[in-house]
Amino acid sequence: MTVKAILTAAALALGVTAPALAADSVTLDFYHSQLPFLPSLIEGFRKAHPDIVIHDLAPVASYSAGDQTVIRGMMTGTAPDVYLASYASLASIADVMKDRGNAQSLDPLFAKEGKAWTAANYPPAILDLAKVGGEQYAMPFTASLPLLYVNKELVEKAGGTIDHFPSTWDGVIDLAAKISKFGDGVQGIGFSVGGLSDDWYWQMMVMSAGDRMLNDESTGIGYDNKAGLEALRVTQDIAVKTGMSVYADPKPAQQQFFAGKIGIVVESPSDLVAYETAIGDRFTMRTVRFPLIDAEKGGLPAGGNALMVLANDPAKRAAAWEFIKYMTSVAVQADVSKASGYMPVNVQSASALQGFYADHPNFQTVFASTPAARPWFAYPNNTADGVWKGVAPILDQLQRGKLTADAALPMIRDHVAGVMASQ
Amino acid sequence: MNTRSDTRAGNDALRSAAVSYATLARVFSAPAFLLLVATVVAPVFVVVLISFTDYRLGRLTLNVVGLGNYTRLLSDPFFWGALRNCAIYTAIVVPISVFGALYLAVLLDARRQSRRFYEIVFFLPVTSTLTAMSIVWSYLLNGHIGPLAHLLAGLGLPPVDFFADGTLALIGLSIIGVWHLIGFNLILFLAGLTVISSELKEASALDGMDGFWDRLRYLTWPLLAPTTIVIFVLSCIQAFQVFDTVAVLTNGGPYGATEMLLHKINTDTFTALKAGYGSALTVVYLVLIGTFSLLQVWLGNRKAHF
Repeated sequence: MTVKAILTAAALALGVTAPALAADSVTLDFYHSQLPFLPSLIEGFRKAHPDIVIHDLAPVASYSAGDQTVIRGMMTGTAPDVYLASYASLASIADVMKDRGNAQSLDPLFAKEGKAWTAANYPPAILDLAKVGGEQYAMPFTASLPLLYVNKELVEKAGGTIDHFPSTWDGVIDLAAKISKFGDGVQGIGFSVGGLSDDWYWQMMVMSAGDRMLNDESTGIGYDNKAGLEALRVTQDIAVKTGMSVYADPKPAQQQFFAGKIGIVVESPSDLVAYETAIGDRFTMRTVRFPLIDAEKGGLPAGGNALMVLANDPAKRAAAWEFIKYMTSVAVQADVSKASGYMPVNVQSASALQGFYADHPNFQTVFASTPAARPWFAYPNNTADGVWKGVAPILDQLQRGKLTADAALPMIRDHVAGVMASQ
Repeated sequence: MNTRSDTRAGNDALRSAAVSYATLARVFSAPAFLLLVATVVAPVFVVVLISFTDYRLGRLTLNVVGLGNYTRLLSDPFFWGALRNCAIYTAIVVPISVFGALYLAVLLDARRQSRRFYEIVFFLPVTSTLTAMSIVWSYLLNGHIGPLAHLLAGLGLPPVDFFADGTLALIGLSIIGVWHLIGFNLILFLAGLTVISSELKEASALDGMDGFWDRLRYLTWPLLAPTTIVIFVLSCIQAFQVFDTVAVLTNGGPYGATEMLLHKINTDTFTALKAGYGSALTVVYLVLIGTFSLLQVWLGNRKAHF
């Protein structure tokens, strides 16, 4: 072989491969909060799609801090291409995108795949969680519904069973009151409805009574009625009738539950693995359904997060779509469920997990509540914080027995109407 | 300003050279001046302008609402709550950290060998990062697992959970505030003490002022008055700026009991995205801090004629 031939071969090789690489390789900036199971999923995607480079940005500590970074990024042109946002913040991010004139929903990408494909993978109720104004602005990645986490030994000692666990709040309150009588610092239930940084607990109570958080015009509360009053009554009974300690923070009840000192707490299934690890073999923890105040009309707020595509470049959007399809595929969703406790968003994953569920009944409880799933209520114009700041202390006083349900309702009504009027 | 009066004082022959000297001075100071305008003065003006609009962070559009944000602010119970909490916090932190530092300074001033050691010990909190130290403090003051909890349990007292109770949370933050501020004030007082001449001390001793409290009351304290005023105002400004501990430990909770002005500005502007309203809050904050600073300058000038 002559030098010339080698050079020609090299030139040919370069001529063929270099442009091919440049055209096919797309880099996606992926921004998300800290989730322990994500790195291995990203690694899996890299192997399955070597042509798409996932640039995994440093994870953010909280959803709200992530939203701030993304919105700042939009203002300076440095927003990530794919962002894992909580359901609660989808609407406000989509609103900013619309205002800036670069909002693109995922609807065209879904249309390209066809209706049959969508129906075969994603249930409509799950897809609804990530819709803003009827448009699919994100793809649900994880989904959860509130559950009761219970200490099996304490429940059985009080005469209850897991298989016949009460399905009404009054039944749960009776059981909790019996557990509280054991003494030695043991309490029946830990559920300080006002003691959370957002209104997730309170959404459970209002929605499970069959009400909405705001009225249709978004001028005030949507539970200024009999059902709303019932939600407040149950909220009060949970604490007052069981001798519950009311806290301004969820951590104390969580720690006491870990120590076997509380019978029942409310949690997302996404914390299942973390709870099982923390409890170890101190006691047997089981999950049961969150009771609906109104068994027919009641719903439960779905928590979790969804993948948003912020990139506008068509090549990047196409690559991001491949990433989204992979992350919500049957196998990956089964892995997410096993690693955390989240419900898989892909319908086919449930059947793939049947054997796993038989061995781990705690993971399956959440499916019993699926018909009650409702989208997390997103307040207009980021008013969630302003609303909650006034409602939380009222619920705290209610649970401490310093306010009646009848007195609390008008206070909440006036506060929320005030926030809505001055948004 | 000075250069201009200098040129006026100079004679005619030198005028042209002096003008070019003034121009040269301006040219040399221009970069610093422009930087100051671009990074300090202009942003303040932008904030004032935004405070008259309903601008939401991230948007391209906005509407002018005049004084709307300010009238809303006056009727916002959470603004008054934050202001009240700031005032209470300042009222606890400033006297303790000022008089505590004065007391320590007088004690240390008499030390010869161990003085350096104590100076370092008390100054260490000032050099530490408050954000990181907040986490350490949250462990120290924890009602269930910290050393304080063990101490109380050992004495047979009920547990005290500092950051779960409204009143206690503010006191907990104040304890950290005093710890962080007292070392700084101590160093300033020690510097102030060095100007009190030893002749005065000896003379007062000869006149029969032997007791520690007598010396403090009739000699040290009056001579330290100007220093004290400056330290007092500086401490007020520092206390009013409390943010790190709130952000790390309480997030303004429980139920707004530790919400402070700076923290409220941060959450309203960046979490709730209400940049217009947040700017109005910032303007109010700037006015308050500005008043403190003017007070300091005014009292500082008075000191010169003391």
